[in-house]
Amino acid sequence: MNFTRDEIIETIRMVQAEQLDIRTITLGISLRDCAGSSISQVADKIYDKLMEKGSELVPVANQLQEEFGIPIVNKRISVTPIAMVAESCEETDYTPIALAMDKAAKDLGIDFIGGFSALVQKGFTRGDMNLLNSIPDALSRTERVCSSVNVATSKSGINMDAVLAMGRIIKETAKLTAEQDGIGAAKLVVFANAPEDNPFMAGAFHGPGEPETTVNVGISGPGVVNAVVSNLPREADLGQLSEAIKKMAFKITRVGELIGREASRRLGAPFGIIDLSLAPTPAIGDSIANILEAMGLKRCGAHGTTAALALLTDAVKKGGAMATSYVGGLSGAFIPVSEDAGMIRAAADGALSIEKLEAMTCVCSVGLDMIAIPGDTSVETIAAIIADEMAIGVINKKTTAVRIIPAPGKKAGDFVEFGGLLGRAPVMPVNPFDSSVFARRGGQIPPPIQSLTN
Amino acid sequence: MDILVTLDVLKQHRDKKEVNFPPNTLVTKEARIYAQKHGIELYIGDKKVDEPVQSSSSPIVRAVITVIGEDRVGIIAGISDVLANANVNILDITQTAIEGLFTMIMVVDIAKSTLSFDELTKQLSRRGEELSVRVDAQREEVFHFMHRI
Repeated sequence: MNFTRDEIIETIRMVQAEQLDIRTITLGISLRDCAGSSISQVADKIYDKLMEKGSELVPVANQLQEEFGIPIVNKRISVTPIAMVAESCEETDYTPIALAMDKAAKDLGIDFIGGFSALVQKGFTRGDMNLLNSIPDALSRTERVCSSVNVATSKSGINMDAVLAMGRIIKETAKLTAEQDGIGAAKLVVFANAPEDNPFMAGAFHGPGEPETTVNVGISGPGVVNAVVSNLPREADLGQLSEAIKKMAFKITRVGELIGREASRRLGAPFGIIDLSLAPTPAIGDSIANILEAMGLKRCGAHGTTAALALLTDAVKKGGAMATSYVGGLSGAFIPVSEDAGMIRAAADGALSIEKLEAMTCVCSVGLDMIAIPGDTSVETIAAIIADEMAIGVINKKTTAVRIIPAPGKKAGDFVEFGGLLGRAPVMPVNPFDSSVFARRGGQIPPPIQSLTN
Repeated sequence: MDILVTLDVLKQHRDKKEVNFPPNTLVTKEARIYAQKHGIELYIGDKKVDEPVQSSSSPIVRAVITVIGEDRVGIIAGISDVLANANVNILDITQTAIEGLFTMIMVVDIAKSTLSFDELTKQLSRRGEELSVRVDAQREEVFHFMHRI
């Protein structure tokens, strides 16, 4: 036999007991050839192109899942930022395009479609403005469409007009989906340094530098890493801990590499990247917080959490980088509160605050993710939360993001329920002091001195 | 003139058996894989383009079958029966008890299988249900990728 019995048992155990899975196969599709002068014409072109290019995605993913025995949880599509595609339309409301994307997603049987997006880090074009204005309506009238807006980069600084606008859009989107606790805002991300090849939602879009089509794979596996950490003796030092996580990250990523190569071959689309992120789900044991707690913290959010998360993220990257030829996307560890049973518990116990989460985002892969805040939080406070997070990304040359849900009618301590992968979350209190003069100043925060690398 | 031939350029020629490009044209690897898969011969000038070197995707030959459950009479016989009917050759077989559960691992050759992999898996798990054991079949590459550099 080519493999030892123990190796085979280990793999079986990882899948059956520790929730190893491929979180997503995301097919990136360029829509740059779908432009037109009327919105209905563009929407039709987009629907037709998605149905043509995406027809094989679900069958192929199901085949791979059967043959390799590794669950593939989500099948997704990302598209060119719609602000660019729709810019030439005369109409100003882009909702019909979102509806066409949603219909294509349902007809193809995919879980999410991302790319109702705009890149406005330095200012707005007409298309960008129209798209931003269409977001609340588009997200409240669709189920599977995800939207993202990049408002900052390390090279251009932070567009504070866009930040304030996003504060308003997030609040409006939540209000329009109030009967579902503001779920619309859970499909909307504000980015600094958004990657062009991210397979994860809600922030996936097919960047302008990408090829016609591409296959990107997002791996998962917090449960597997948790098992490794838990099985180490309490005396194991942090070097040994890092080493053990690295080895497991390698194995997890190899599975992603295998599935990615096969998917690319069968779909006839070039293989893009593997995103090395550990992505939690609300399932028990599939939690990033539990890994940090297994390292020796009573609750995620206790002092030491940022250091533990930094160690985890670094070890995952080092192990994963060797396992795949092309790393991209967000690559790190996600800390979405509502999607992680351990985070939910920590937040409900008062161990985890927004301020601690903000500190953690300095060392994790993205940012403030899936956090419910009181529904009466002001637009300016939401904008200020976004501005803080964008500053972390811009100065540290990393991707940061804010996906925050001002839950209508809820106050701190209440719970919101989104269901499925989006989970449930305790409403977290925000700092009550006012930041509105700062948030309303507008203009552009200049790029930092670190950006002058040429 | 095509300076660079990508997958999408080639897809416009999908009905042809042979496609000629002018000298010095660059053909991307994805385009070459596509051509190979669809039996299109590519020429740059009068020189035939080499077939791409495949990094993975060798045809399916082996699979690993694992059986986990209560030990009882007839498990191996039952599983082997399904495999024999499908013309699947058993290359290696090992059994052990892990945490009190009977665990059998088989490495099989499915190159000459009369059933599709999908159908084989279904028949195996149906037989597994009759025997009250869990049967999983996976292509061998998973183990290769995970445990070998």
